[in-house]
Amino acid sequence: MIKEGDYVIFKKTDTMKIFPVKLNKPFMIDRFKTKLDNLVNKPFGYKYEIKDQQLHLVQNTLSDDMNKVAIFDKDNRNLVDKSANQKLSHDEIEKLKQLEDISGTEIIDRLIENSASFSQKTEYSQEKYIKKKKEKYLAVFEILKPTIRTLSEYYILGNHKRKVLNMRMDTLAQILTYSNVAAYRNVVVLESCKGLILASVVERVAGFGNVINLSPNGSHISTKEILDYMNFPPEYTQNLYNFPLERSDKLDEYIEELNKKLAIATDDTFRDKQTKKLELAHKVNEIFKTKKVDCLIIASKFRPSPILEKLIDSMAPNRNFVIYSLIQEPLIECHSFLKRTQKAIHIELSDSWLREYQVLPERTHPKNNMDCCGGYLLTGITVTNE
Amino acid sequence: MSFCKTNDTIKEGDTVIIYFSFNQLQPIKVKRGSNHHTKYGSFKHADLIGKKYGSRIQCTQGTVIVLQGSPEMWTISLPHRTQIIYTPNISVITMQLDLKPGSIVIESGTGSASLSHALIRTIFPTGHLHTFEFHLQRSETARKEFKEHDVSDYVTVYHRDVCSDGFGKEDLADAVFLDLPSPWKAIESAKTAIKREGGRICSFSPCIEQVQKTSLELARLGFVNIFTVESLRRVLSIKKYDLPDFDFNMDWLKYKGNGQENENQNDQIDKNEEKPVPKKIKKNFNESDDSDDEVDGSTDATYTAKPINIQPGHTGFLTFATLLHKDFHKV
Ligand SMILES: C[S@@+](CC[C@H](N)C(=O)[O-])C[C@H]1O[C@@H](n2cnc3c(N)ncnc32)[C@H](O)[C@@H]1O
Repeated sequence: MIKEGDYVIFKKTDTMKIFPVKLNKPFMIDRFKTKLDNLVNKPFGYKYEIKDQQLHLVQNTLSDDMNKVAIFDKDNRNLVDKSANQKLSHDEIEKLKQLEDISGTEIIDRLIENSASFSQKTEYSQEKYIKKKKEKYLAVFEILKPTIRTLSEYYILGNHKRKVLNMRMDTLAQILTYSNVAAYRNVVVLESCKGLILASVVERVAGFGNVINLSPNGSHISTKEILDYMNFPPEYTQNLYNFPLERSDKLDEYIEELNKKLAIATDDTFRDKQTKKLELAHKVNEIFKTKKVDCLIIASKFRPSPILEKLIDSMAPNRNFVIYSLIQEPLIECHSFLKRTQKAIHIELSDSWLREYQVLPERTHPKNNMDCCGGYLLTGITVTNE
Repeated sequence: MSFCKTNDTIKEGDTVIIYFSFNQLQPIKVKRGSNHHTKYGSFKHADLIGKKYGSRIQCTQGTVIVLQGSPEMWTISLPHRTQIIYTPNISVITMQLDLKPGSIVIESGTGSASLSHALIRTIFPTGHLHTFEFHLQRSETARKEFKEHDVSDYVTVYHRDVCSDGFGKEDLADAVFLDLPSPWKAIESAKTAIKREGGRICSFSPCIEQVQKTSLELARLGFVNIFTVESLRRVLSIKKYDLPDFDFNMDWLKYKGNGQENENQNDQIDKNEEKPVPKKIKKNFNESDDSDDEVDGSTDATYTAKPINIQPGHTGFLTFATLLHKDFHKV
């Protein structure tokens, strides 16, 4: 059920938008003004329609598509050039949309009336036409819960691919299995995916292990976005440590430096801050020095091999690492390093392929477009040469 | 030792994986007093006990590596009793079913329990897997394996025909997974088994006809967001390359042949790949034999990657759908 303070995803066919649920705060989505108050204590996943600036649950109707077999009783030999078929001009349609009291259904009716080709279409394409127009003009949205699954769709669909290094759902899914992330693990993550990987890891560890998030300066800003959307319970994030990547290879020095600062500290807030940093450094040091890292995931905008070289020695033997890159070469470098130093076995470079299908009676085929850019993974298992 | 956890040292009774190379792995159960014979000679089980996982083990004629049993290693080394689901599909299934510690999952059939181990690892220590298999012996073997792998606290095995008798569960599961010849016959019961607040379902089928029937049934029962995908992972091997330059000034007329009889570089790359088992017997686990990769560590060579020639081109279709909160369904 939706609660105040949750984030919700508004979904139409090919757009997704995220909003926090705040009471009595009207805002615009597409051309519709609405408040989110009505969503509280309502279920996720249903379609909701905006009426009188409030969202109303739309009862789920059976998917009609599925129950209609294609009837090829008309063909399209007489169909001609597309834009000429619609007698309403672009400007006229825009004007129609601005009318205060016009409903989406009315707009669609006008479009059909003015469509020369509508009656010539096969029944199936008539339906497809209406469905497409409905999705565009009706104020109906699916309200989805932000989960790793829906969020990875959100970033890919909404043209925010670059924010998450093009991380496709299947690639992310493989990162999580090949790294063996689960409860009771110490996981080290270095990512530039707005927190998509970090949040997935936090969810799979679920507070039963430790998650160390390495970033320049230990800043949490670049990974906060998706952690916020996920709205985890506090026990999930209590063992999440944001630590500066640049200190991870000189922990002794860093601890000494912090101790010195602490010794001369006069002001209380400064002392508190340093004490916290010191505790964190000790925690990370304990895991790194005793080689207690169980899973290592690198998916960042930095060249991975020098980072891997520093971090791999903190891993216990027989543990899994996964490195992601949009291109192969940085991973080939990592591969050479691992082979040369014999620090790992079962090293595999892979890419993946994800194809979606339209499944309808008599009309099943792969979707016309596919995302061909799932990136590459380098996976492997650490070994000891003792 | 539990397959769900990460472990440091080998103990008696552990199921460990003897690793020879990327496609030669063998699970064994460590038992003091036993000997294990490999192509590198034999070793005593007792020698493993107390050793670190990920160590090299001395056999009479060479060394091998010993790894702990984990879901991914088990999937590539388990004794096949049925077709199994492999890690790339397992990954997508786990993600699309929203699994995490605490999830309650129903699965049928258990088969060789390749998927089951991965599911358990993701949902433990607070979740539970209910796995259904109508083949008596398979269900018993799975139960025995779960015990040996120390994961039985998180899984219950049922011997049952889910198509004719259903799952016998109500408002229990966050997710249901079907790998059955006629999955559509189990969907009505799956719907009953899913929690009141709704959940996710996935069906894996090799044939498109199965997908069509499954999708129709899902739609009929009010599932939404029905979609089907195929997901494949392709492994690339790393190759050194050094193409010869063509000599424009050479008198090719005098040259015997046309200079192409020593296969061109591409052929060479392929040829290298087709000899995964070198003729002379390797005495040691050797990093360079662990894959088709050609890496000698020299830093001035130029490397590239190329897909391994023959790889799975089809495994199965994955159909997913959502069941929305039951209290708001239309009556
Ligand atoms: C392909 S296997 C499952 C493999 C499994 N997913 C794995 O990864 O190891 C299918 C299994 O379903 C079982 N099965 C088929 N029909 C069944 C039914 N009606 N009820 C229960 N199990 C069934 C078969 O005996 C077989 O073991």
